[in-house]
Amino acid sequence: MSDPIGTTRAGVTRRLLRRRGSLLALALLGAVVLLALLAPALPLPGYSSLDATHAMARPAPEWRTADESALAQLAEAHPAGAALRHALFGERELAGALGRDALGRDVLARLVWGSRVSLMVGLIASLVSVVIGVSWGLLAGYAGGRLGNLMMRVVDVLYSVPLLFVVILVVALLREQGAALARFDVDREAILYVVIGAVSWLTMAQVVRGQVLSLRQRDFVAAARALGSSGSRVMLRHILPNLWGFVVVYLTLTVPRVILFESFLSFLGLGVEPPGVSWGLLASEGLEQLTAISVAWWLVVFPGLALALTLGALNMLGDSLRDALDPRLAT
Amino acid sequence: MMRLVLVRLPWTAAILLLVASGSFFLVRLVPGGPFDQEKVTDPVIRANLLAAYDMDAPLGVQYARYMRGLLHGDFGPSLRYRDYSVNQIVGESLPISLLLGACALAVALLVGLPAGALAASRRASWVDTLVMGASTLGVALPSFVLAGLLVLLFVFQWRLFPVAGYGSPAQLVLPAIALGLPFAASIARLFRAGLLEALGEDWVRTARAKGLSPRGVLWGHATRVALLPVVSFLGPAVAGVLSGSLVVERVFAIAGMGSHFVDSAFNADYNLALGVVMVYTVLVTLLNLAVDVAYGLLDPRIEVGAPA
Amino acid sequence: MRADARRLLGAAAVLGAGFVGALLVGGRASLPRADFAFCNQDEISSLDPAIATGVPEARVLGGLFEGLTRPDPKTGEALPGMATSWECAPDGLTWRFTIRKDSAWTDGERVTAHDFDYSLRRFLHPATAAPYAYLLWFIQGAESYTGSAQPDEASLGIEAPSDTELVLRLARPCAYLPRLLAYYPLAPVKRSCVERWGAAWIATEHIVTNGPFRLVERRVRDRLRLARFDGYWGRAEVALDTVDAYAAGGITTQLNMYLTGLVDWMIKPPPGLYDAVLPRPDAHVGAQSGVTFFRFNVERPPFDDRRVRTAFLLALDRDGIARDVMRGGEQGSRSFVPQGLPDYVAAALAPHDPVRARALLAEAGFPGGAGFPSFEVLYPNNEVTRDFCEACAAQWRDELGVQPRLANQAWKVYLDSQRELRYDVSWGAWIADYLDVGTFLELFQSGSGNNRTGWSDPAYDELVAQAGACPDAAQRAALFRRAEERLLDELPIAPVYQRINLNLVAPRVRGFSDNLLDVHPLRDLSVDGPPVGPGP
Repeated sequence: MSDPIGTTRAGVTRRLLRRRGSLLALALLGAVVLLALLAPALPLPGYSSLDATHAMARPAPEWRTADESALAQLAEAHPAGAALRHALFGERELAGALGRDALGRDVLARLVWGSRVSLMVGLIASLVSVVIGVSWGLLAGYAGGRLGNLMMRVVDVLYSVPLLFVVILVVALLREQGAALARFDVDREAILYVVIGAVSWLTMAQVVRGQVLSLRQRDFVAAARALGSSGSRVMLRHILPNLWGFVVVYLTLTVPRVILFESFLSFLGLGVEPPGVSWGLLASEGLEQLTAISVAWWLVVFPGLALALTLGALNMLGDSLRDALDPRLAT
Repeated sequence: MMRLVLVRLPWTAAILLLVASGSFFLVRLVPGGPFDQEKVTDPVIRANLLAAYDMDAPLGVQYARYMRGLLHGDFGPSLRYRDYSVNQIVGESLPISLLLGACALAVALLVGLPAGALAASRRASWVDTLVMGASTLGVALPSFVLAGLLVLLFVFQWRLFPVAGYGSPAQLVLPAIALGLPFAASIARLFRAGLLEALGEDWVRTARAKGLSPRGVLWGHATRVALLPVVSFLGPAVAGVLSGSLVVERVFAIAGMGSHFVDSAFNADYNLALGVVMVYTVLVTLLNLAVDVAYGLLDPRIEVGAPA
Repeated sequence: MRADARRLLGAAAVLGAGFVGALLVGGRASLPRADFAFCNQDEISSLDPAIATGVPEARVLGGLFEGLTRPDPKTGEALPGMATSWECAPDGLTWRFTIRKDSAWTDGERVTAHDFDYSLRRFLHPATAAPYAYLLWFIQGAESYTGSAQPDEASLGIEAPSDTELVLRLARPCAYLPRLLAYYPLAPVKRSCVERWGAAWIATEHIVTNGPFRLVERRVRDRLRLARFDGYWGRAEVALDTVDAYAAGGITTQLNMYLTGLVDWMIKPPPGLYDAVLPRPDAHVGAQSGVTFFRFNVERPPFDDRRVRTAFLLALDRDGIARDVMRGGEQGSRSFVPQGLPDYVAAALAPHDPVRARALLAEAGFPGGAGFPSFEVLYPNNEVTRDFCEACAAQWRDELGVQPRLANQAWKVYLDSQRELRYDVSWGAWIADYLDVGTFLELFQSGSGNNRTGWSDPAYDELVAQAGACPDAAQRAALFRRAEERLLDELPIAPVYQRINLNLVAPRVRGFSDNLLDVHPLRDLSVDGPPVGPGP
């Protein structure tokens, strides 16, 4: 594969790993993803188990016997994970480590299970935006001329439209039409992911188009055309592979934006619905339960920390990747 | 400059038309409509209500009527706040959002610019790491979490500010900070990056070698160049402040335009929802235009006479 | 360098000017705190009594306007308002009201019977499109008046023979009419004001009112300021000078505003905080004229079998659920019609009896729950409602051996599903607007749009219709009771608990009485001492 930008994979990786910040970020992200994957196997109370007797409990870790019905529900939903948990920890669990909320639900459990949803939203919505953005930018850049300009004009127009508000309308609308959708077996959550992704592709398209425009001038492209390759073949086999670097960078930078957007929607009541839980929903519930009577700081601080650290790590990683990819841009 | 503005105008008009039409139909897809309640409305009463609001005509007719009203700048009556027209509600709430936004931007600039300059001048020191670390976290924090933390500290822990409301300057402080800090973080990063890049340029090194004081160099050309990315960031920043106000207005009980948007969507108040969307579109478009103009003014390639 | 500095200064000047401009345009003078301030939950839909709907509206409009009668703050009974006395003919079809001579509008003129004649006609007129117009359809000619394109004024049974006499001729008796007339949609509006200003008559500078307070300022979605009206006939009894009704903010913000002393009264704090809130001395908890219940879709087997429905009711430990799940001081239902309605002793609901429940289920063909199809319990999306439905579903599972699934839907979709009878079992609630048994029992008449169970019983319809047409209060109550007994026999619904009113009221407030309707007229409130946040 040709490498016209002068970055080998080994070179990029070396530059990336040389920075301490990015190592830290990678480690943190790895830990978060690991916890998310292992959630069913962790000895924690159920994330939607209500326990009115412990409402608004301060952080106070307690090693105790788990509730049977919660364990049964877990075994039903995640048999492999539940089996692993039983083998490692038996019937015991760690409850109240980070406190409880107004309905008695365990904060740590909700953080761990919420990470699954938040990361899933981040990944799927970003993938959607990558697919749309890359296709759009690739087509616009390669086609060039009037079609290309028109396509980028559309992007400019979409920048001015307050997409946020249209999204809110669409999500509120989809919420209302839930019954109709269920009849067609369409998952409301899936639609949410796609909608979020659909508003995040604009920058990706612009960047991709810019890259394609510069790549198009390159010798290897001219050579391929001279050899008789069709337009689409050139696009797919020669230009696209050289875009991966940028795509990975922007993917890494889009995930935190998307997760932030989901938390924003959750605050408005339009994100993940209970009994599901995401970090955004946790943070906004925490805010709702923050009153002068019970200054439950643990309900806001822990979800906030989770968001800030994880998204911060993603941002840092993305920045480092971008610098590593093109050393000329490094500051 | 004038040419730029003139070229943009027809596009702006087209965008507004598109947004208005699209939203008109989108919003009416929400089932139930503005007059639905738990207690079933008698059909006679329902018919009277629809007639009173001209909603019994076929959709095409309603659309034509609405568009005609739009051309006169009339967004119609609010379907939820029956004493008010949408123009009146926007007229009362938009200035509030603008003031909140202006304060938030002031916070963003007053915190972000000095922070970025500080980090750049003490590059690779602990100060730099601290500022950059804080800004990385700041960009990653949702504004409502920030608002919650501010309330925790400055309202409940140290009773310094009122918890909600609008009217006195004290009531604007926490909302402005909650809204503006995430943008301060971005501005700090951009400004720092721009300064470092400018300071690395050859002619700057030459100037230094010739004996010009470092401070003079820093506050001269470098700042002007480094402000460019900040200025171009202001466009999306103001748009972000406008949309972020949705959250802050809810938390601090401020009757600005942002809080109207979500509620009007949920109340199926079609006219108000459309009015708010249109106003935001106009604001954002004007903003982008202003940013482009400002960029042109600040770009050193256009200036006459570079420093020696 | 000078060019740079100039440009930078120019940019700073532009930004600064923009900021000052925003300040001038958006800043507004902050008002000093009113005597009494409260969080009114939401911005009101309108100041026009005829077209406003909702509970927050009642608090404000009840202060601005006064109808023929006004509610007693403790019992909800009708006290003289604009009418000093009233009498009803023995057949229950003609009511005469004597209008007081010492009343006044805020523009100085006297309130007369002609004002009420005009206002009630306007309320019923189709062009006004009053959502509550049906409240007066028992008046002669009223229903067709509202429904016709060219309403015939002469056919309507409203008459003002003189300045001080108002006569209402009814098509059917309405025993609770004096209580109903205190309800804000039936308040008078000034004809000259409405005719002069049209839709803008409710603007602060134009509005004319007759109640204990007048409108001083209105900031949409922020607050409404009222001040005592010195021309009000009962001025001596009104203690408050100024009142602020706040409309902004979510429930948590409202609670915080109360705790930090910005407001003196706050309604319904978040249920998640009940354990912290209820023990407080400033928490006023009381029974409400409202009930939470489950609807059964009687068109879907096996819920078409009365024994199954009865089994489901008996299996629920209503008191236990109210105590442990709702935790607000709610009472398990002893009847369908809430306890405490005037002149009415409710029929008795069968007590918790899981043994009999299981026996009934077996008799219906599902011993121990075997063979009972898996069914859905529908509820609108809300954490507390979900918690409640889960607890009930768990009890059905444990006691009867059946397989309930929970299904939640957005509010409007949920309403739709109920109307279309697309559910098995559904959560439901009903809260009365005014204190009368009829509003509860009329729900389940065959044709009622609010029935939503598919249940239709001619005997029940007959009893309710007879009660509605009965002029004698005691006989009416007896007929309604028989209807309720029939309802509790057939059980298209399973009442679970009577709802509560919960208000947080600062200690400095006096005259705040708990009552079923949760009506607290501003006229009867007073404050003692300076505003101080009660604190956490």
